Amino acid sequence: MEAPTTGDVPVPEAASYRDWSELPLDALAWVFGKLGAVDILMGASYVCHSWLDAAKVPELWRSVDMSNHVVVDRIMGTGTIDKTRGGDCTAKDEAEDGKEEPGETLFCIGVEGSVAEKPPSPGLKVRFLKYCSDVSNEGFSQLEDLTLLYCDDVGGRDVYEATGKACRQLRCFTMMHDEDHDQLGREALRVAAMHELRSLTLQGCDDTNNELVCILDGCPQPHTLSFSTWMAAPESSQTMLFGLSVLGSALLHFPPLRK
Amino acid sequence: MEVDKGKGEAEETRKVAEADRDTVTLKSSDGKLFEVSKEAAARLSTVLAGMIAGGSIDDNGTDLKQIGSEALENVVDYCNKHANSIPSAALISSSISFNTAPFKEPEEWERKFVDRLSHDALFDLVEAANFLGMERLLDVTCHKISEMMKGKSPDQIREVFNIKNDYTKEELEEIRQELAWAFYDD
Repeated sequence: MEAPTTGDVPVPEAASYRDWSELPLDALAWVFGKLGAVDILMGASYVCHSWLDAAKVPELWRSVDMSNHVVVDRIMGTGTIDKTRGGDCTAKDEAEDGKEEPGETLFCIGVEGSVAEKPPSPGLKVRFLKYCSDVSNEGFSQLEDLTLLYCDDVGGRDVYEATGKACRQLRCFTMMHDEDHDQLGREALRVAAMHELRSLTLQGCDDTNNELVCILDGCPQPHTLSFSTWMAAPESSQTMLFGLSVLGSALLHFPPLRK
Repeated sequence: MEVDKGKGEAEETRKVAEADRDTVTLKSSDGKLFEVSKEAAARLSTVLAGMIAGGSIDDNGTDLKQIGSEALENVVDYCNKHANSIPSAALISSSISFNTAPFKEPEEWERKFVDRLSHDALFDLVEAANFLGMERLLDVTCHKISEMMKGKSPDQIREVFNIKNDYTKEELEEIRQELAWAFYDD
């Protein structure tokens, strides 16, 4: 194996004589956009005043992805969560009838407190959380797309109403759980609190067919529905299919009939 | 050899000649002239595209007083290389949003192009790309800069980029609290 020839490419100087704190804000924000949230929050923001200004450019925070970062892995490694699953973020929720269960808080994006004076979180449109034990629904009034994957503290009877109230612009809601989860109970009708909802995906829920019907009735403007691993079989398929006729697309996955 | 022409007519002739040329001449802050493919310049730089369309290109060298000769040479080099290697205009995204714009990884030649630059040359090139509204060049240069920053502590970043810490201890503590929302673990 020969070493690649560098030709007449000059070796870059080690030192820099330009003062990089004077890089135009637009360009800095462009750099930060490529850097990702964790490096902005842990490194760049602390460098100097002008870099902090660039770190606060709202466009940078419209979408935040903190997954697969070494820091996230490290923090996740200290918890009980399997870090090979990759990791994400976020706060705490008022699910489970208001009682909060203790758990490892990994990250939170846009929770109370600092949010008020900062542009990032209130304007957030999409939120994707995976393996977060403590999830908040505060500070997300602009949220349009919410994905909760395996966030085991989220659930319970109030989950739809609470989410619907917190995220009034929500158009797309996805929730998945590892194991059977008491997600809806008889409160399925409260999905109607999500006034703008167009798309709903649920997986690993312990809901009965009646509740599915409730969802269909309650969901004001459904377009896409996707469910899987239901514990109950479709008893009143006719009602259901009637409900489904308003949908643009639906994916229903039923397990074998159970007693 | 010249027949005496009216001034307007001469002007018109000049303009027509200019329009026919397939390169434009750019002049750096220190007075050096560079030729660049007109098509590539218009495609890659919103500012140059505007100047070309608006007829404010000077045949004797369009003044770019904000850009030094080294940076302008790199800009022109980039444009000309781009003109030769990538014919597709689809490469440049029209969206200007940082995170949502689909970022196309730098091509091999683009990577090499920025890798050979010194830190200072990179700084100047980013400034020039920003000034000229060259989105793709900004993408490529900023990608390089972000790679130089990834995983580094604030101290390490300051060292690499020759930045003085202009925070007081109190200010740093304040930011820490301000950003605590991201990493609280109580």
